[in-house]
Amino acid sequence: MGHTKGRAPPRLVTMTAPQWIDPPLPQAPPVPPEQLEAGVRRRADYGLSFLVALGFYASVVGAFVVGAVSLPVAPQSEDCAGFCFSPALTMVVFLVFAVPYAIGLLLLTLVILVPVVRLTRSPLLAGAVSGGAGLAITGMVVLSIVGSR
Amino acid sequence: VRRAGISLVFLAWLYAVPFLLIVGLIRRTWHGPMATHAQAVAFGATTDRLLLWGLLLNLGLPLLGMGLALGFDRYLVPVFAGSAAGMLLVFAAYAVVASQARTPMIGYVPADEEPRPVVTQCIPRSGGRGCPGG
Repeated sequence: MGHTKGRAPPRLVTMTAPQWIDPPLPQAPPVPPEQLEAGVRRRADYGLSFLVALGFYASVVGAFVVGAVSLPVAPQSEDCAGFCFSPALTMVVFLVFAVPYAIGLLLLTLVILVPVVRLTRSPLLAGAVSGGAGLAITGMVVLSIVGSR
Repeated sequence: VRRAGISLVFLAWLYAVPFLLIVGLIRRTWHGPMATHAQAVAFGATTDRLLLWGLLLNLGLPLLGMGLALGFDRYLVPVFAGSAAGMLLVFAAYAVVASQARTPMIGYVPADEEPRPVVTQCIPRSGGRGCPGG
């Protein structure tokens, strides 16, 4: 009775990467989303801030236009040379003359935004601050030009 | 989504308050005579409403936003602190304008060209005062 003694199965040697060469990196604990956001984005988004400031300018200019249009048209007197200036027409003329100031205001806003977006992470706040500052500076320049004449 | 919703409160304050106050100020600084007294009263009342709503929203929206930010999104707390500072600036500017204005800011009725009724004769009414000599 030959007890056929089976050969021992070959030992399976699995080659694993030596742990002592390349230890696993310590896993960072999960970061709460607020801190993650704080770490990733330290300054406000430049384009969004500019859009917020642009909306502010649009609402201010729109307020002047709406306010002028909402005034009742003065009764046309006969001694106007050709035509009379209604408040709305006066506002249109002002807007045409205001185009260079508007371009300057936009450029000024782009410059003001550079330091302001570093102060806060919120484009709302950065846009509001730069919009208010830009409007105040432009208003002072316009007033000084008008006053000097 | 929640942050966007609360941010809309800030944008509403930033855009609506200057709009309402500027439109109201332009209408208030216009003194030109209206055709009739009723038109002048209606014009003044609309201007009052614009200015009052501007002031009311200037007070209410930053407080509402601050409450929402404290309750739901602490990230927006400094944003609404900024709007509260802006609220004080707006009130200060309004106070300067009001002190410079020759007319009351709220409750002013512009002049009108309607002829005032002139009492030329006494008409006796039931329950009224008696006419002299009658």
